[in-house]
Amino acid sequence: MIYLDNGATSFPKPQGVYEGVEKYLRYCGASSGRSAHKRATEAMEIATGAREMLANLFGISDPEKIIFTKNATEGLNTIILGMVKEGDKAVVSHMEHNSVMRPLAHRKANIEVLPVSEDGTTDMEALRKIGEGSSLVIINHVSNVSGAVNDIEKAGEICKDLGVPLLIDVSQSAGHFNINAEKIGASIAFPGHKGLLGPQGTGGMYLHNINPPPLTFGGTGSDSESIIQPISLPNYYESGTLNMAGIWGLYEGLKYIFSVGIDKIAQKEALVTEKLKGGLKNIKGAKVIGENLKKCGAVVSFTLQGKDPSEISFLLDEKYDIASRSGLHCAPLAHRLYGTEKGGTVRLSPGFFTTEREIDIALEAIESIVKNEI
Amino acid sequence: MEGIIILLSSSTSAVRLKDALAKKGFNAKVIQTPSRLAKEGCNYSVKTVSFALAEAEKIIKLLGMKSRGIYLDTGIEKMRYRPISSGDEI
Repeated sequence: MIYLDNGATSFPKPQGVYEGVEKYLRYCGASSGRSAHKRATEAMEIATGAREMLANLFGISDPEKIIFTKNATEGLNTIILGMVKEGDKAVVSHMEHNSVMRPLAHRKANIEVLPVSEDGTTDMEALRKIGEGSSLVIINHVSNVSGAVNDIEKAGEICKDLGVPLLIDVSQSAGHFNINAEKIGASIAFPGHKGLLGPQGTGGMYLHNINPPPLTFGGTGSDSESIIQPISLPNYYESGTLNMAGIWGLYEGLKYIFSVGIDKIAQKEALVTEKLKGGLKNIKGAKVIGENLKKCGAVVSFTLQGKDPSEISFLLDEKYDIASRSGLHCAPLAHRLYGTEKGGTVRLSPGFFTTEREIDIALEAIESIVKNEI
Repeated sequence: MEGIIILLSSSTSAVRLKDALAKKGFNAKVIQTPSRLAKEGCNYSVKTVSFALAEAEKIIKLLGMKSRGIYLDTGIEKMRYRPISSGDEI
C-alpha cells in the first residue's frame, strides 16, 4: 500500500518503535512511577528519557513540565476546559480542528475567529484587537486540511503584549518543524502518533504559566496518604497507569527524529509535498486547496471536478492501494473558508518515509480516475 | 547500604538525579521513600553514597528540582535516618 494518510497517523514507524513496544511488553511490563524494582525503574527511565527528548524538541527547559496524555485532544481539552468558562471570549484561527471547537462549544464560549490573510494563513495582526479581553487564544500551527502554516511566533508576541494565554495545537507540526514553546510563550498540545512517530495512545502537553485543573483525579504513585491530588508536575495531570508500551515506542520514535534531525525531516517532506502539489496542478479538473501557500506542511487537499471526494478516496484505495482521507477532516471552519463544506476534499498527507516514486504513482492514479480509466 | 537518601517530588526527578549522579561516577539508585520519612505517603528518593551529597545538592539546584529532604542512612536501626536538610517547599 502507498500510505498517504500521515495526517491521521504516521506509518510506517521506525524499526526501533516496533522493537521498543515489543521489548516493553515482553521483557519489562512494569508500570512507571509505582514500584521501585528493577523493571519499574527501567520503565521510569524510559518515561523520563521521553520527557527529556520532548522538552528538548519543544524548547522547554524543565522536562517535568511535559505531561503525557493519550493524544493531542486530551491536552487541548484539559487546557480549553480549564481556562475558558461559560461565556468567556476565546479567539481561534480560521483553521481549527474539532478538538478545539468542540470543547469551546461545550463551554458555550464566545468564539471569535481570526480572519484570513491574502496568503491563506491566519491574519495574526488582527489578533491585536480581537484578542483583547479573551481568556484564551488558540492557534493551529499547521492546518490538517490545506497544510497552511501559521505564524506562531507572531501570535506569541501579540499574546504577550495583550497578557492573554496562548495555546498552540501542534498536531500537524510536532516532529515536522522546529517549535520553541517556551520562547514563544505558548502552551502546546501534541499527539505522539503523527510526526513524533510513536504509537497511538500517546501524546502530551506543556503548560506555559497556566494551571488548569486536571481532567482526571486519582492515583499518581505519590503522596498516597492524602486524598488531595498532588500539585507537583507532572503528577498533577497524570492520574492512573501510563501507557508504558506506547511511551516506550514514542521514546524510540523521538530517538529516531533526533538521529535524523528536524531540518532534514522538514526538507524531505517539503520535497515530496511540492512534487505532489505540482503534479496535481497539472491534472485537468483538479483543484488544490491553498495552492498558493508560500510555506506549507505535508498536507495536500484537492477536489476533482464532477467527482465526489469519498468516491475518489474509495477508488484510490480499492483500485490503486493508496491510502487517503476524504471528507471534512474534523475541521469545518477550514472547509467553510475554502467553499468545500459540502462533500469536503480528498486529503493526501505524505510523511518522512514517503518516496518520490510513490508520489508519481499516486499522481498517475488520480489522472486515471479523472479520465475514468479505472 | 549506608549512605544518603534524597527525597524528591516525582519519579521523573528521581530518575534525572540518579542519572546525573551516575554520570559523575556515583553509585545511585532510585528507591521508594522509606515510610518513616515520607510525610505525605508514597514517593521516590535517590539513595547514594554519602560523599555524593555536595554534588547531589548542586545537581538539584542546577536542574531546578525540589527535594523534600535529605537524610543520612546510618544503617543502625535505632537511629536509622538522621536529617541533613529539610528540603525545599513543594
